[in-house]
Amino acid sequence: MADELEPRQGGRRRTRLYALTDGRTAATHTVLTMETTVTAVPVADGHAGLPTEWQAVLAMCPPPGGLAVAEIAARMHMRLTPTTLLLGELADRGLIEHRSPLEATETSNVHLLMRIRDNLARI
Amino acid sequence: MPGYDAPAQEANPVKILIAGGFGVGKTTLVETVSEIEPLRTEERLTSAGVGIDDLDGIESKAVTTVAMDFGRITLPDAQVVLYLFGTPGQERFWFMWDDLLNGALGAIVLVDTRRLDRSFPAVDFFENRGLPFVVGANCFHGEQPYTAEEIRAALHLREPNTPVLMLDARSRDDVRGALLSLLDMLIAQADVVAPG
Repeated sequence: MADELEPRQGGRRRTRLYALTDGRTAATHTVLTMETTVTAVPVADGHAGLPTEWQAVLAMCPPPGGLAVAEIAARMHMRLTPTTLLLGELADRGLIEHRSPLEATETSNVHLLMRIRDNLARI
Repeated sequence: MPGYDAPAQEANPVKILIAGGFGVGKTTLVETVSEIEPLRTEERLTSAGVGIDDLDGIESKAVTTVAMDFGRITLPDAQVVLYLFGTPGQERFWFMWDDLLNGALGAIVLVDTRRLDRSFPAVDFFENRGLPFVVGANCFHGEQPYTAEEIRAALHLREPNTPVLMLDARSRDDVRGALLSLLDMLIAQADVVAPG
């Protein structure tokens, strides 16, 4: 699905930010970084009625997987900052859940680093 | 709860940066180990204070759009998803881009020994910000006329124990080796910080 999105046409205008965020251009409450992973929150009645771009994003990241913000940006052909704002809006509305990158205290944990190393050695 | 609330089984994202000058093979390296075709994302950055070398004195701020190619490696046993971000070459814009370094585990600085100077900005930047990195000398056409010691000396690496590896960015073994070398360095540092 996401892979079938057509590459941006030469003369096509970029979708305006206020269209993506339903009028909001101010910072959202949820802060997302490029490697934060996002999953759509399952809803019984689907996402009918939501803006097309929102539906496209939600369809991209069904649980339990999760896509990084950068990955959603790339697949939506959007820049990072507008993507983080769009996703922040979705997060504020409870439409997505996100997983933040590990904190420095965790990434300096020698046991975690060794698990990463061991797993990397087998790829 | 089972089947619904299973966040413990989900993977945490972790980022490693792949830096180096234009054309040094960053995207190739990412492609070699990524489980997905490398994707490209863009960011619009403002650089404050780069006007010092602008002779006209009018432009005190520069704005540019930078592109990053990235890939991912899922490590289920570590419950981690590793994202490899090929950093854009315009290092002077990195200073205004906290999101790039924040949360990064470390970096691989790829160098082309024919154009070593193109790697200086990345080395300086990571050294100044204290981000651990290893150096990978990409061997184009399988050749590398310099030794690791010569490359280390030419780069003026602040930390003399920084690993300098000969690699072919197209070789999965080589790229994995560079990542493992970075992890070894991080593990050694973590041991020093938290003994026992």
